[in-house]
Amino acid sequence: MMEEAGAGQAAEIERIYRARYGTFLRVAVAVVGDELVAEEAVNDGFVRALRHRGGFSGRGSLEGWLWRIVVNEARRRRAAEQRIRLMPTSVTHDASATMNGHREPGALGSLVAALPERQRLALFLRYYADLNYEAIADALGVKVGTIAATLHAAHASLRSELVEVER
Amino acid sequence: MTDRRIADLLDELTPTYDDRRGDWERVAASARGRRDHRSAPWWLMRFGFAAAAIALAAALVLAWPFHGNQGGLLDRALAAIGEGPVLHVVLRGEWGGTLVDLKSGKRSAVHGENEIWYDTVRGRVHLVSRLGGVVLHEELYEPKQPPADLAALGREYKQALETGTARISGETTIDGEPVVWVTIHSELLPDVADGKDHEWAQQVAVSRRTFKPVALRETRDGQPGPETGQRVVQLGFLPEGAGDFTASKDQSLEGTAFKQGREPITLEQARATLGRTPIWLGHEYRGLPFAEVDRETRATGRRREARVTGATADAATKCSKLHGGKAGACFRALGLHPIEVRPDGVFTSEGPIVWTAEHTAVVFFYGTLGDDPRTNAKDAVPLFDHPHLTITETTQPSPFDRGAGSYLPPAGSVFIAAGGRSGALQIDGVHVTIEASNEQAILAAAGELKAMRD
Repeated sequence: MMEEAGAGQAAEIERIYRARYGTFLRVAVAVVGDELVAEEAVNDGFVRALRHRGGFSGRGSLEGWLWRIVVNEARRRRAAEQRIRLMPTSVTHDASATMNGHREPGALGSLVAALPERQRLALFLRYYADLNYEAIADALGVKVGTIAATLHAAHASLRSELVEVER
Repeated sequence: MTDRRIADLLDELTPTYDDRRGDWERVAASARGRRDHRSAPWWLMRFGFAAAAIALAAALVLAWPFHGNQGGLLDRALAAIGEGPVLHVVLRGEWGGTLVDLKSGKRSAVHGENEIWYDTVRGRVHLVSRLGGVVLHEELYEPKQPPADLAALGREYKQALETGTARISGETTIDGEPVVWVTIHSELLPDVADGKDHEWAQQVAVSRRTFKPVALRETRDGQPGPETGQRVVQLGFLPEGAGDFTASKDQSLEGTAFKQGREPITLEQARATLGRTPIWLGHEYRGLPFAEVDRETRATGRRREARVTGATADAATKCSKLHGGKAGACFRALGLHPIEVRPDGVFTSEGPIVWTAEHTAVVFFYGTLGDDPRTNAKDAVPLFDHPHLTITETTQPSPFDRGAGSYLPPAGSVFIAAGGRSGALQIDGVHVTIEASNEQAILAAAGELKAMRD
């Protein structure tokens, strides 16, 4: 019985991975700022989810739980990447090639980067992953009311800064 | 709520990857613990061997548990907590006191501890509270949501470690044990005092030696909250169906009514009330006049309990699964109040409260009597906002005794509690509680107590 439940959950995790991989990758790229590291974060997050799928309590959605794991994996990677960058290395690579041909973030990116982390993550999950407040709350491990307040604060900050930039 | 301009801004920042499909087979193989030898790791293919070697060296440095990589430490913490859906934990809180030997002045801690079994599958909690090893009370209940400390050590702690939500927030030493504080849950909560949101967090201290939890605390904006610290004395996860979920109804405070009254009496009546010669500090003690002696009565009782069966019991059980206002409305619709859904059935209570246990004490008040500003009539009551000292004595200790409850300190020692404003001791079979402004005043008074001869 338990094995059947575990197999069913694994199949559902696979379905979500196949259907939403691009979206998971986009959010992970937004978090870590590097496509290659983001790929690792998404894949290792799903490995972690498969291994520990018994730990999913059933509270909230399975997809929300997966987002939580992947976002945390991405955050951890970003912290590790920042430490690695402190080490001397002669390895360089073309940043533009790792951003799917997208341009460097520049001033707009600085606005988003300046937001508190929770606001940034909530924005990515809302706009890139199109998650509702409940799913974002699941993913970030906070209450739904906190998400409403967090997104409101993020919007307010960005709007005021955008006005400044446009002037 | 979305904002078109912000959406455009974010679209500009990060490209879409809708054409990417990932590599599920590699994910599945890694999850099974097998290394996929068909090709090199993702990052190795893209950067080449030299870069990979540098990254690998860096990763190894970071993965070493005592050199700052939280993944390594948190993975070990996950491995250390064991399996099983029933949490068994003994938590030592900050609500104990200090035992002071009156002759030698030697001090020793008396700990307040909660032993808890928490069945995460059935949602049942069995709590036993002890002071100095003496049971004060115990409860068996099914909470809608587990208390924060249980959630912290139970499912949430494990989930936070499994999902990577847990983050290391600091390090310190607790009783010589080097630990790291791990935040396992946090949220923004508004404070009406300043109208701002503050980050509340539940943290677990993990030993750097054993990787097991050794303490809990709550923080606000990173600062530990008052009286939220608890030591983890014992922790284990038991298999389904295991654990102690039997509790003595006699020790439970659930559904218990309590009443207390006090009336002035004469010294002779004090002798009769206690059934023996009281002890006191004479007619004057260190500038405080003996002002009054009272008879204090305390009683506990319950209404008669009646079992509810049939459709009403089924409906009540369904109501108990709901949350917040929905649960209250559901119960009210049943027309039975109060109603209690317990592991042993559904119960309501009816009729008047039956007072079963009555405790009597005499209270000597040293200080000033004055008019009670809350009443219109001129009267004389103890003024507790003036310098004062009280001595409460009884031959019937009860869980409701101030300071020590049912805990009886050994003869010759005073149990200091309530921040140094309460001291409990035994003298010739009489249980005495001294209340004063500080510990020194209590210890001095304890040394000068004498039999009331006049």
